Amino acid sequence: MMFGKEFQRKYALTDQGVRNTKTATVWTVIVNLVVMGGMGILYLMMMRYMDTLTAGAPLPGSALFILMALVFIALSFFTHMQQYRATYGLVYAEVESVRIGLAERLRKLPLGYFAKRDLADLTETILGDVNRLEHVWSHCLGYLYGAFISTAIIAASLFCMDWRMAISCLWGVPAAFALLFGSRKNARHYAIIEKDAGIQVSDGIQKTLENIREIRAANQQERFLAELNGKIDRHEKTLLSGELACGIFVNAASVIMRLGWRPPSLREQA
Amino acid sequence: MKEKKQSDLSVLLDYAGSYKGLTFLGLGLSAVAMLLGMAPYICIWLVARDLIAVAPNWTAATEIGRYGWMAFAFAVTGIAVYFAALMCTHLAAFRTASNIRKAGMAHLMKAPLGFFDSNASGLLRNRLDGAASETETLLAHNLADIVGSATMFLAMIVLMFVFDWRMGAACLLAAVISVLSMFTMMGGKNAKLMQEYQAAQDVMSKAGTEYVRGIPVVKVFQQTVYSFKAFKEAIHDYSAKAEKFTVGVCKVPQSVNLTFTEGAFIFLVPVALFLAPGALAKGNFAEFVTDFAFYAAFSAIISTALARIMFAASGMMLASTALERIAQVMAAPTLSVTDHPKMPADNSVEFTDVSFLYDGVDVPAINHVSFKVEAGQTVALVGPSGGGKTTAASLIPRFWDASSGTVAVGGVDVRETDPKVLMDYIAFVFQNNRLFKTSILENVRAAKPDATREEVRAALSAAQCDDILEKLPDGMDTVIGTEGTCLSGGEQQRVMLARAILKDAPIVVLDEATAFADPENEVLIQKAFAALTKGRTVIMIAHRLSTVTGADRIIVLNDGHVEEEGTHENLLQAEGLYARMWEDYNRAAKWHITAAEEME
Repeated sequence: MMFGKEFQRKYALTDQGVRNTKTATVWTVIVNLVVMGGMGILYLMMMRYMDTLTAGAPLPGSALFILMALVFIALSFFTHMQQYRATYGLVYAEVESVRIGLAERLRKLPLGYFAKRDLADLTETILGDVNRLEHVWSHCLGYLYGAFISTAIIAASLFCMDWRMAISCLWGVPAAFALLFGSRKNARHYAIIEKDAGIQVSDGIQKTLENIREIRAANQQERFLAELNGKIDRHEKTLLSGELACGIFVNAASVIMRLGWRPPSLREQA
Repeated sequence: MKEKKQSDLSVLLDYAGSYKGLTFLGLGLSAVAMLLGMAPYICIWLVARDLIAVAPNWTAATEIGRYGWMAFAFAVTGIAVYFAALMCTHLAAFRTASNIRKAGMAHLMKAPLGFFDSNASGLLRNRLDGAASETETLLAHNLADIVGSATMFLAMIVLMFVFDWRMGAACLLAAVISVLSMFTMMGGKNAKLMQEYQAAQDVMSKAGTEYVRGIPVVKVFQQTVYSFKAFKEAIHDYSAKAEKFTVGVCKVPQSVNLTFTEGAFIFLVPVALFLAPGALAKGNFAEFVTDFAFYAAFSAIISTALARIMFAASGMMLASTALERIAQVMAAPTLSVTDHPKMPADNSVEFTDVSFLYDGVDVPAINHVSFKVEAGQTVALVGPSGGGKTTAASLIPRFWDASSGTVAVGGVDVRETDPKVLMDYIAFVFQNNRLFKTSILENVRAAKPDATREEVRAALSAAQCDDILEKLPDGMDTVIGTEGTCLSGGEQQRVMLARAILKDAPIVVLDEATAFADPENEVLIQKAFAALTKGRTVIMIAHRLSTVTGADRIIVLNDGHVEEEGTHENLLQAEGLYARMWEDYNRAAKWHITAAEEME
């Protein structure tokens, strides 16, 4: 099942969080279908105009299309509001309970746990992670799964209309996904290297600041700064190679995605 | 608003240094990429024109294959150029972030050491390191997208006149509504709400640090958790403010924005309906249908461009707050460095009418204090806590500079000596000194990088560290903090004293509270103190009166001023504050002894 236990664990969601994600997903599907419906208006108009052009049929009446456009605007606005409420609107209460839960959990940890750790760093890490969760919950989950579902629905209906056109329109989607998922291992590899280098920098900054009295007392400013700058430079290099290696895949995927629609115009010629 | 953004940008671009040009190259390429990306739509228009012209006799359109391949070529080139553009901007963005980190740290290196007492290292690190990363998205992606989208809008206006200006204007109208609704989120009253939301985030982050720091203390003393309440309130406040901003401020404009972004074609419908009869009557209906088809397809690219602007807007906001945090770091005060440094003439220390106020406090911590410590003398600073002992001592190595009056070392105002020379003259051992996470050898040698192993060994020995070295697996080369090599508080103190001894500075400023750390170390620490202070000028912050009786002079600081001054005997005879403190101290010591006897 899409929103089963594994999903809940993977994104660290509470039961309420899963419910919120479902709501967000549903509204995203609806939003996408409404937008697709809007394209339908253009399609209908184009058909009618082609009838006029080729068969000399009378021009379509305005009232119906104007009405459809108005309904589209109203529906689109309404569903976007709902989608917004289901994503950004619900996330903060959820994140609040996660933060407080974490704070309570921390309080119960044994004393020895704190002796071994840099407390400022611990807090930073925990708060930073929750911020990232906040972002994923509000910006990504509902939109991503909603996009999956609505793409499937739209693909299915395109197939019903004309399977050949549908294939030529949609072949890019699986190809792009295959490319993205295929390069994931590669991307993860670089992500780990980048993260390590990033932590080196972060730690370096932290240690330098913590020991600043000693550094200054010994007039060692230049040496410590040079060492730190070396770490910063190394980090920059890993970022660059990662971007180059992963960027190529992402861009290739977007090439394929965007070119998906082009073969039909080529084929029509034949 | 707009002006501020531009200055933000120029600040960022200045950090890019020699990579500034690369950013501009990237932006230029991004504009080219956008134009290339639009070209396929023109090819579609050509295809549609040819097809419609021959409709329904499709096979008569012979050129459309060529157009198709042209579109393909344009699209591929466009994406390739966009990729190149992003590579340029990424290079520049990474360099900028690196430069920000380097500049920030170089700046902090010059801040007065007292600054770090009130600004936790974790917070500073987070500000600098985190904010530097946050500028990356703006420089790497958002700027290129803004330029690309702006190019697109300009090109659209041109295309409007080439194809059909009325349908073009219809598409543009949707885009304008979309952009305007986005701007309402950032302007006026909403900007204030956004600031409140960000301030709440800062407060939450600080409360979190306080809370986690407080947990061990709370656990030891079994207190009810006060800081938990503060943290909880901060969390709640943040959630409330965030929700207020996102739902209260952004929900409607954002929905309007998305409605018109995704429905960029919407005004095309009435405009086409309005134009169709005229076109039919005039006989250029085929042309009209071609234009309609073009704009219908083109509206999709508008959606993409608008979505990019939206991301860019949030990137702008993120970068703007990031720059604010960077600016806070860069606003840290720096120690003034004189252009014409003077060398101290001897090893004396003199306070002349010195006052000092901490930032944001009305009552001076030190109020018109004057005293002189002759070279080689040992002077003890005593007095109730909060009396100004530590503040006075920390003015000597320039942890702070006096608000008024002068602190002189060797007859020269400390502000007129080279800070490095001053540091060579003074060794200080304060409560918040720390050990590096390296070997003991390196830790001690930090005080004098060119010292030999033997010198370090001798210093450690003088600081009574022999027992520590014996029990460690690799002796002096043991790395502190690794598995099983944690030193107790008292042991760490002795290593720090060894460091001060090795430094061999003529003036020693030390906080005697360190000796409290660890009773079993006390005798050893006292011996180490003796080794450190021998033959030097010593200013000692004393917390226990037993250690000051032998001092050449005792200065009693109370409420920031010198209450009394003299030798132990003189002060007892004067029967003032010191005499009372001495009496209290002896009574307390007696209690300790009685209590200890009873225990046995």
